[in-house]
Amino acid sequence: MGVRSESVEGEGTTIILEFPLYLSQAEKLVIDRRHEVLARAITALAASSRQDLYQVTHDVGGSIGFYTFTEESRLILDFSQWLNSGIVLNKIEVENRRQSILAILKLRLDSLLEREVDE
Amino acid sequence: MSKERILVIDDHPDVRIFVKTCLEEEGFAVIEAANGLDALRIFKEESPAILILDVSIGQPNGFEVCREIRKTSNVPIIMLTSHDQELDEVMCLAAGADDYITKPVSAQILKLRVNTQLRHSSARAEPLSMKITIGGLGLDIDNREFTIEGVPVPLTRTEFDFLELLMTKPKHVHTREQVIEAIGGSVLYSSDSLLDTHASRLRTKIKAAGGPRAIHAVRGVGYRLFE
Repeated sequence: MGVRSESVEGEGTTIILEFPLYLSQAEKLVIDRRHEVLARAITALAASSRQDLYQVTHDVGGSIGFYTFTEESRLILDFSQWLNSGIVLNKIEVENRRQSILAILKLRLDSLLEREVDE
Repeated sequence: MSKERILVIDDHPDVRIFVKTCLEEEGFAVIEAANGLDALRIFKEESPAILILDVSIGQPNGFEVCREIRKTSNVPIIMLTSHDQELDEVMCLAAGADDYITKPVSAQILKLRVNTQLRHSSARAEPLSMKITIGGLGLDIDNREFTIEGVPVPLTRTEFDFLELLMTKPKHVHTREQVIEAIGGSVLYSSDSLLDTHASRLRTKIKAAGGPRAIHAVRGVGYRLFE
């Protein structure tokens, strides 16, 4: 912890206490692993066959949410639910939704990596 | 004092490591299993204080593992589900789970739900000497045994706690919040369908054993025993 003061003539003195940022073990884990978790999710989703797509989206959607990708998790789980809805699915529509999710995940990964480089 | 052991069962390593880290930080010793067969083996060997069990873990799945454990144990079981599986919540309770968490979940909520289950489990373990008999229904709180006209009827831990609350004050209306508290759930995260499922399962068991229609829902308020 640091303590310092700043004085301005005619205005007074400000005492500033600086506390180190405390991160729990779980928060540290999330920060350390989130980009690799997201990268693995992208690889799995991109490589999945149509037959495996429901299981892969279910697994990936369930896991990335723990690593701060809550919105992306919901998006993938909605896709997963749609895949498992029992209605006859149009192959092109399935592929379009997969590509659209992949694009979102890749953007998120790029922005994460850029931020890590800046830090 | 030895740490309480928690068995975490999930086939996804990223989920296991997150849950493990959260709970170790809380002072628990965490044991991991990646599938149902390992979970059943480790459960027998380690006697954990609580289980966190994912539904989708291959074969046997989470429901099957839960039902298997319930044959011999009342250990608290929290099941992990995903929001893409709407039926899961009801199925978790029907399989005998005490609570369920929809993935993803924050570290804070996870710890809260685990501690709540352990607190209620511990409170239930305190010695009481009480037997209640009402209208053919018998409840031996010491031995956690429920009977109808003297014939034992197996109940899950949650069902027993639900019935215990109703039988300790028959004809009194217990609010949904009181029931949730008694069964070790969280008021914030328990849905109406959770209680309705427990009530429905209890009615079915009592009816199947030749018992009376004992559990009544009071619309918009809660439940009571007998009208």
